[in-house]
Amino acid sequence: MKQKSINWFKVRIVFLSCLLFVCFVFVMGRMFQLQVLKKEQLYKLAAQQQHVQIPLVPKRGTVYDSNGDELAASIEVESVYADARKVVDVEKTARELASILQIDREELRQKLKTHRPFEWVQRKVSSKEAERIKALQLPGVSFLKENRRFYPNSQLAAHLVGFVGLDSKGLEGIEFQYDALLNGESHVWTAARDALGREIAMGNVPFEKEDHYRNIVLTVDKAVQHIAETELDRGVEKWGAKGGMVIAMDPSTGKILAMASYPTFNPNQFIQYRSKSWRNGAISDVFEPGSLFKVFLAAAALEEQVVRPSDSFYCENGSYTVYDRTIHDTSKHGWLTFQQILKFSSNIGASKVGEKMGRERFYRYIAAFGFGEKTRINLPGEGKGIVHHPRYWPPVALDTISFGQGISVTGIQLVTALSAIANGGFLMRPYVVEKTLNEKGEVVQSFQPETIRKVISGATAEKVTALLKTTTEKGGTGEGAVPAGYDVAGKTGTAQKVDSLLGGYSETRYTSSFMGFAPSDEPKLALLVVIDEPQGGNYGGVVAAPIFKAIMEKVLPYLHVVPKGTMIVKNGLNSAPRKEASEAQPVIDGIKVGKGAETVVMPDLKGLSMRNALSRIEGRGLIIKVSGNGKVVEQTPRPGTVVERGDICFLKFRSPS
Amino acid sequence: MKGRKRLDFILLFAVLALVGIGIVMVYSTSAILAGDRFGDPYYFLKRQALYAAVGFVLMLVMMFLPHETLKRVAYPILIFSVLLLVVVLVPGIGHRSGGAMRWLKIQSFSFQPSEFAKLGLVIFLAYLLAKKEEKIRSFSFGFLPPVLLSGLVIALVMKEPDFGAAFFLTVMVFLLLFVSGARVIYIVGAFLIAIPVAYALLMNVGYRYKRLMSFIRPWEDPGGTSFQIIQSFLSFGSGGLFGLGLGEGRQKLFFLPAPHTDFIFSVIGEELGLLGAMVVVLLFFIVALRGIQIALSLEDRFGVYLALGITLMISLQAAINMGVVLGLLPTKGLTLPFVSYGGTSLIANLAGVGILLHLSTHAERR
Repeated sequence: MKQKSINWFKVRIVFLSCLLFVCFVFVMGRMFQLQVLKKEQLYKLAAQQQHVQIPLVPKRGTVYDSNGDELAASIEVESVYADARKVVDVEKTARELASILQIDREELRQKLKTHRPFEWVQRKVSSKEAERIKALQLPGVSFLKENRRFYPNSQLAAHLVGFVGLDSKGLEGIEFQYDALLNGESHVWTAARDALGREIAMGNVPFEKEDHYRNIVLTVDKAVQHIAETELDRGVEKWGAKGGMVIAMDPSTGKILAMASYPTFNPNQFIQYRSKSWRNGAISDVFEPGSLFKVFLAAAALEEQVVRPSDSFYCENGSYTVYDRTIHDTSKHGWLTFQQILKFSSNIGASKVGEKMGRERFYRYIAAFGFGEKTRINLPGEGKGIVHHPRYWPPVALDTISFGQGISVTGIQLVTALSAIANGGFLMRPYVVEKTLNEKGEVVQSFQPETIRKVISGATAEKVTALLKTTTEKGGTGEGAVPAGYDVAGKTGTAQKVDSLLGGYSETRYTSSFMGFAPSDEPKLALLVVIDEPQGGNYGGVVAAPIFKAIMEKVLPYLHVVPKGTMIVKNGLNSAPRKEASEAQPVIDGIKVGKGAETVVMPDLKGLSMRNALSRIEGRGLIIKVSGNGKVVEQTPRPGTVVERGDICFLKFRSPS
Repeated sequence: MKGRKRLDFILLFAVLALVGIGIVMVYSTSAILAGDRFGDPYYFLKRQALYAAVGFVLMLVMMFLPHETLKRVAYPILIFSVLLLVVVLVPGIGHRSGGAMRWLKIQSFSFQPSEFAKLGLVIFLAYLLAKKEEKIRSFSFGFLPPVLLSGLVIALVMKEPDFGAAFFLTVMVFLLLFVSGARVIYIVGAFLIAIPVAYALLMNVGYRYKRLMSFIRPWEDPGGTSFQIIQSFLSFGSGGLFGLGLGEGRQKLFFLPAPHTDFIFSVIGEELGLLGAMVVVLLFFIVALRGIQIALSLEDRFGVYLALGITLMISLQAAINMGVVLGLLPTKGLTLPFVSYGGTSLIANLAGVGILLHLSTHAERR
């Protein structure tokens, strides 16, 4: 009996043990399930709550001009955020911050009440605001460093460089086109945090990573750009015009040296300007080129040997009816040679040359010069222009296109095509980016000139250039475009604008333009000036040519192109003559040069005679270039500038009248 | 025939290992919390080490104390336990923390009467059940007295309130009654009566109901009531097979509630991985196995109940705690014996182990 009861007792104990054992098996099974089977899923969830991820505006690459001056730069600014859990006094914090930052207090109050560990209060505040907030030492209010875009030259090259939005996304221009390169990898600030939302240092510290952004060096020269913009502004204002554009190109490479459009804006406050003024008209505006287009007619006709410069055409005394249209000339002409047709810009003459060419042939050249196609300049928003296939040309189109009516082009197309003539017939692809650099300033990619095709022969190009030179000679329409001391090959353009309301050509609204290159024998600069709807004058030769001249006058010396009639005073027993010296003429040898100091300060030479002036600066190892005669009226470098051996010195003389 | 057996070293080593792991994990889990609250990251570590030392001394004492002595003091221990449980409820004496009056404060140390009462009730029940022997099958003489006396203790614990401890004590009492040979029908009957009581208690106190719901559907509201158990899952999941490494756990940074007490096993899972946690489970399993072996080897009923009660006190509570942090059971305020931070619990458990070890040397041979 007792034996049996003991057995039952022990059986119950064993049963109890089994129960315990089952419990442990369940525990271990569950552990396996959570730690092996569901591991990934749970780990992800844990990582999510243990980290705060805040996307930050990264450092953005700098945009430089060709000389390394900053056009767009990133500056570090502070952004204010709040850790709502640590905010002690919501009312006070909201009141203080709202008054300093001038933001909505109620909205801020709601944010601070969320108990979230991260809420932006205001991003990219000024340093003054940041200092004031820091001085208050509000608990729960902290700062993060972000980057803000800054355009140190304000309006300069605004259309070209473009601008970025608040989130550092490029919206226009280079900023838009090269957004991915400039921005590099986007930054996310990841910080480990505890359940109270406090950041805890656990390995990864933000901002330690490389940014991987690129800097961009443009082909544009700040100085040239500045000249172009200043003269364009002045011209537009003088003529009360609606707008305008200037494009300067190195014709042999296709490099854009300057590109200006009017109206312009300040990219630092782009939002305060009408979106219309953000438009880079130089590449996106499409307009009828008018007489400018005769240049390409001439090139085609000469290449095809349809005409010789000396061939004569009857210009119908200023009125020529083709089909249903009557073509007029500004001044009545009888018989004109082809050369004179260009010089006086006769529409009737051009029509007759065009008729001789035939539409198919003419069209082939229009297309070859790149009209009707994008130039593929690396900028956003480029226009194509309107060039119909000859199949669709109305009968009179051949005549009108010959003088630039019934065809639409962009500024960049015109200056690119013109450059082909200046460049021996080679059409170059225009480009604005010289190279890209990495953070350390090492070149990552550099862009080379790209020849698109050969449009005309070198001989034809020379002939066209010669024709274009005559238009800027005395009596030519482009007389006013020539700066003293330089040869300019160019063409005026005066186009009536299409009246969209009446469907014909407006009698009052014009596009006045001038394009050309200089020096004509060895072109260094191709330049297009277009003024949209000038008031009180409309001829390209009157409105645009003086702007062209003013720009050329300043830019050519800057590009070290020596004016005609400049004498080069060779220097240096020790130093070899510089390249510039051999280019210029006449050269006066043998002016005595002594052993000068390595660097000297430029004296003021104004008002001195040539002899006196030269004696003051000779023997300093300078390459001295002089023009004119009489007394010194202009000198470069300016008085007081430190110059050294081998520097070029221009002196301009004029005789007192 | 009575004979001396060798001390159960396997049991001793298992317990030493658990206490060691406990001290390390208490430091790992509490360093940041302690630094935050007391300005001393070693605050909890120092105390746990001190408690362990006191506990080992008490364990040694119990190892050499003849367990017959315990028979004589069974009633005084029960009365003392009940007294303490009453005193802790007196406002001004009992220390309120987290909505419960569970502690008696003596300077900076706090004493938890319910932990002492667990051991007290085990000793008393062992005495009572051994005395009843066959009479346990009767209702009024056998079944009712232990149930009523235990019920008094459980009710007092419930009043604190400490639902977890009350639940654990209830299960333990019924298990011991079952082993003693009490009629299963009485046990089931008592359970059936307990169900509506438990239901009423659950529904009356919001947080208990919420805890239960969060146990049933944890992912329904991860930010709210299920927060604790979800955080525990995330700990285990983060740890994976090998763990993040000692001290590398992130869930203890205020994501997990009570990382150094109730949820210390979650942190073990996170930092030491499945392997580390498995070692802890195995150690408890060894304690259970050795405890039951000791019980089975004894002739003396008092010794058997004592050994079983203490074994349950350790391994059943461990199983419940693990079940809770793994989401197998609703959330209870139960700690992991030896490992979780807590002085009274550690000292009482070590004293219990002392008794067990004494019994192992005192085993009788048939």
